[in-house]
Amino acid sequence: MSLIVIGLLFALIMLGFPIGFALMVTAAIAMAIQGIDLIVVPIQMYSGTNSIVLLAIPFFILMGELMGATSISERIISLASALVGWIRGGLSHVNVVTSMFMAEMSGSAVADAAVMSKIFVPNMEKQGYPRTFSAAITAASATLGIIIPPSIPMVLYGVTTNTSIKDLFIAGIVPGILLGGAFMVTNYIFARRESYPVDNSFELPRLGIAFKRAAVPLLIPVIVVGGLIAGIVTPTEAAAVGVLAALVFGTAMQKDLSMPQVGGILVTTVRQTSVVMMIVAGSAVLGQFLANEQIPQMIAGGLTSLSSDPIILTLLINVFLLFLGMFLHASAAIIIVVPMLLPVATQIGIDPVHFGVIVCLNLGIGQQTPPVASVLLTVCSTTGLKIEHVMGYMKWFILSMFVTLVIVTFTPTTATWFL
Amino acid sequence: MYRFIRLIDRIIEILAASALVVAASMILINVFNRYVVLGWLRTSSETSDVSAWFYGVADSLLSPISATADEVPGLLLIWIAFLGAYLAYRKGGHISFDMFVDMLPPLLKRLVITATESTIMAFLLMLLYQSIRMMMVDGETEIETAEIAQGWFMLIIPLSAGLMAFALVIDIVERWIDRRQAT
Repeated sequence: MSLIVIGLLFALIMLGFPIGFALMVTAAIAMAIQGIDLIVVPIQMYSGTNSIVLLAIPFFILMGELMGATSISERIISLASALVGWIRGGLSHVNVVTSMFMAEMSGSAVADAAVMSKIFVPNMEKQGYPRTFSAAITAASATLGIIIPPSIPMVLYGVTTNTSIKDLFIAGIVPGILLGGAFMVTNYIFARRESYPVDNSFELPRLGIAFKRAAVPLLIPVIVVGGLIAGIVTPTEAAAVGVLAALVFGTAMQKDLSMPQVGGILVTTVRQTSVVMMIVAGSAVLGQFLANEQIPQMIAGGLTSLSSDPIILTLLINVFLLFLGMFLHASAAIIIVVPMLLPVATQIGIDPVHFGVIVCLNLGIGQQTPPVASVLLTVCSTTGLKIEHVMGYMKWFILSMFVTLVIVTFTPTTATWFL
Repeated sequence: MYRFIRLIDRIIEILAASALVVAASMILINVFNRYVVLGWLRTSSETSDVSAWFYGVADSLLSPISATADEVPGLLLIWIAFLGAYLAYRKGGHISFDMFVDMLPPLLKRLVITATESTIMAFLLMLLYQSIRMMMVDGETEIETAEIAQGWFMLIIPLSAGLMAFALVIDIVERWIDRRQAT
């Protein structure tokens, strides 16, 4: 039965079913075959989506959308340019550093990729960078959006495994910086080899001015994450405070946002939220069925039967997550599969918070690798490029993500240092 | 017909955006109540009559909202999610993997998409029926923090199932009758 369920789910996804509905339909068919009363379907959907913690997801999306509609991206690009634009391959480094800053305001890699590709790819092309390279670095650096707090996959992981979201956010900071550093090293190697230009020379006064212009908007994520880390507010409250701050910044301070614009942003937020939440609802239904079938125990047993060596098991978990990330959306993978893997991970001594970061890194790589490759596909659709053309450069950025994953996996302090 | 559909879209957009605003407002009121009213104002009310008056007014206004703020916004998320699901269906926003379907010849592609949408429609009709059953079984139970029946929050599941089935019918009809919009 388990194989039929997995096969059916795979077939429905390949047939173009929206992923959330593929999960729901698979679960409903499996339940009907087993004679389970289908009233369970709406009950699981209702209980799976009714959560005050999950409410942080629309709030973080709304905060990111509000900030994105203001002049903040232009200010942050200026700051990033003053900081790293003087290095060879300047604009590609500015791309990475901007993504690191923007990651503090948005918890979604796809959203970051959509915004950044429109800004950076044409500008990099003007400076002589190959369009495919520009698209590759833009897609890769968008992964920082789910590692550097706030992060929607981390919220889902926290809710699913009952792990502190505050701790997960803190744990994402160092791996996020490491990942950004890995992208910059890869950038630099290409910049030397293909003679990419510098963006500008380093000037302290320019840096000071750029910092001053970006200080207020940068303060918003600091307040949000700071308030959460200090224990003043819960993740949902932190996100709501972020929304209020972004709204005040955009409407009263900068006057960048009009009320009709805010209305449009609210509707966009609702739509984006529902995309994640339908996957959450579908995962809740299918997850319940899989739990009844004791599939988590079977997978955990299968993994531990392969080896008892913690290093081998850690590698196996990573390979499994990477494979999964290639075919399943990150939200579904977290809700359905992570509860199966976490017992094995804790059994071999991996801290649940550390494991959360490992999961997000793996699924971040999955967002860049076909066939699903949601982030890469977003950048390709914005730039009009084909995946196979971008992959020429992309594979090197994926390699740098692998290196970061290995470092974070086998050096737990990278994630648990500040806990 | 198209004007009617646009009207429905607009109503759903307003409802969903309002649910989001109400949820955010309740969360913010709760934070404000905790730190400003119950913290700062309550402390200063012990030394000043003016502060005591402000504290009394604020407490009577905000405490009832604050009491429900740990539960109602989470329940509103269901409304946000399911109304948004209809909107995402209308604007093609749901995440799906189209690579294989896009490689098919136009007629076969149209047939596959129609079969997919028909299957989802059948699921949605089942969901409509089962969620009405769920409401009949459990809808009258009140939520923990207020005298509001759960059914008001459950209602969105059959409502959105019906709306999404409606959106799918429009999509299928457009795909076969108006081929200019066929994808």
